[in-house]
Amino acid sequence: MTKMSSDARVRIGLEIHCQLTALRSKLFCRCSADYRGKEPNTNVCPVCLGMPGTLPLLNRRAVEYAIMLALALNCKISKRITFYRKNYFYPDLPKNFQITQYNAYEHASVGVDGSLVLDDLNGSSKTIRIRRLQLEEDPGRLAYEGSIDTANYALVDYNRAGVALVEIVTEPDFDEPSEVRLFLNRLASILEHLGICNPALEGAVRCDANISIGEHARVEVKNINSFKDVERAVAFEITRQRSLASRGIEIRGETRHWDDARRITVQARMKEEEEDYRYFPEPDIPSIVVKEEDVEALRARMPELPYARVERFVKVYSLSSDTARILVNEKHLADLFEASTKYYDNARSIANWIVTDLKGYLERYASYDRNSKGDDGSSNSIFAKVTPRHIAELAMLVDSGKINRVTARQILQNVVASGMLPSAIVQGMDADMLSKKDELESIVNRVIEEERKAFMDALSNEKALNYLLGKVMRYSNGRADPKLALSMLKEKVADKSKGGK
Amino acid sequence: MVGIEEVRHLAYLARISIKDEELRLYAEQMDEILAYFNMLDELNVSDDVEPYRMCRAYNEMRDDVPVAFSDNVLSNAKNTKGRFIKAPKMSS
Repeated sequence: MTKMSSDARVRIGLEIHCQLTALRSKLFCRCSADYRGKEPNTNVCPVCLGMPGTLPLLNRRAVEYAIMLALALNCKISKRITFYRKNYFYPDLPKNFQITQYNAYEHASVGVDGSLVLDDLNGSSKTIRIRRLQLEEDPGRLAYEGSIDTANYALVDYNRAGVALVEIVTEPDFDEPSEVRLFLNRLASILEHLGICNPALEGAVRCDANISIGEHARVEVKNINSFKDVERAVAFEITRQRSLASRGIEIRGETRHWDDARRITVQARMKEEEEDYRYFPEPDIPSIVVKEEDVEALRARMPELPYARVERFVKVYSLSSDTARILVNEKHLADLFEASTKYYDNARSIANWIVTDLKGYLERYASYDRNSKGDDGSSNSIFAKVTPRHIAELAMLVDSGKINRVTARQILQNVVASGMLPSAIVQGMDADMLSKKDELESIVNRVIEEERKAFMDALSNEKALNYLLGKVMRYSNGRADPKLALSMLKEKVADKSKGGK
Repeated sequence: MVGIEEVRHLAYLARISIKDEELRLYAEQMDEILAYFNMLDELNVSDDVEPYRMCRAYNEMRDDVPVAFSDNVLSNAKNTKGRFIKAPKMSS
């Protein structure tokens, strides 16, 4: 890579769509907001199908939720919220326009000029500016028989059409793909704490990214389905653009799609969508006049938000701010933590358990990504089994020296499978830590017997001791007290070198 | 003045095909429509009304209560496949 290309500043902006999944009905009609898993075109009515003569009627709670999210993102709330028609012809849009918002003549969108602080960037912090936050309707879904390339026509399902979306547009303030991931995780946590959107539901949070380097043209990447993929797509796009720039090839301003199977971005076929949308005010929806006291009433109704919760965890439970952030970043972990402290008052020990062992377990075994296609089942089913009492008991058993951490992790697996309480599992599986010499004697002897060569090596090489210790742990199914086992091994080695047995 | 290319572009955006000989006719008609709308600019409108809002009501909203619509909406669709509505593929 040439000097020029690697020095050029990368600028990344995001456009995020969050479905207000906590709503019961759609944004402009009374169809259910819960469209998932339904037979195609059974969750529709003349309004969301755009039939002539129908009129939209705005969902009050959708406006309230959008204002709450705007407040959580430090936005100014518009005094007058208005809607616009964004015109384009595409089969997923039955009316041939989308009802959305537009800031042409005045600030019409719910919120503008907000910010979100990333305070955990390896010790430093950074503010990402929010340009605007607006309400709009989700389009329907297109399906194809076989693949999109071989199908002769599209199959349209309008069940999703008209579901309430909040669109959040950031300024191009990100320099790195990792910052994008942090931002999305922080946003997801805010959504979870507000209780307005469940990011784990498929398609509930979707993200487009704008990427440019130096003075080159801006490229928009669409169709990114999970948080992990946003980071990947942005990283890929930076590499692609730098590579073009270093070879002196022009970077075209264009829309590209993320291909999650091949993990590359591909040029989107030319569509009209980047052209003239011919926005104009939606005449069928009267303005929403927002008074200062309405905003304050909503603010008062808002639950504790992630930043405040992290502070409280540090203050009340004496957690490190890193640990507190990891917990709060995923609301269910923070909730599990707080509930567990009611059963066992060593908060730091419980926090440690959740942040290292439980989270590690989830990441290993549950293909765990908080926002990805169809993956809400696995981790949810684990949380149905692992209750605060389970976590409290595990932490307590380890702290009291009854079991070691290796055994505790095995018990966690057993808990996930059976839902049994750790104390009951310990009794059943004979899992108490082997912390008496006579309990370990036979295992240590067996290892020395079988690993004669390693034992001889241990006379001159300390590292061989670790190998032997690993064998003792394995033969004891992880139940041996490692400290005791090591001292016993050392004793045997010392005996041997003294010319003993 | 609306130009021929603008009409062609609008036709593309609206996904309709028009014959070349119609382009001039539509351009002229659009000019007439715009001229009619230009009369609005002559109105003296004070700052306290929203000139681009035709509705004086505000805060018309409903509660978040779902009600299912039971009629068979697919009966209005000409082209269906199972419960899906068939539509032209737009991507090529």
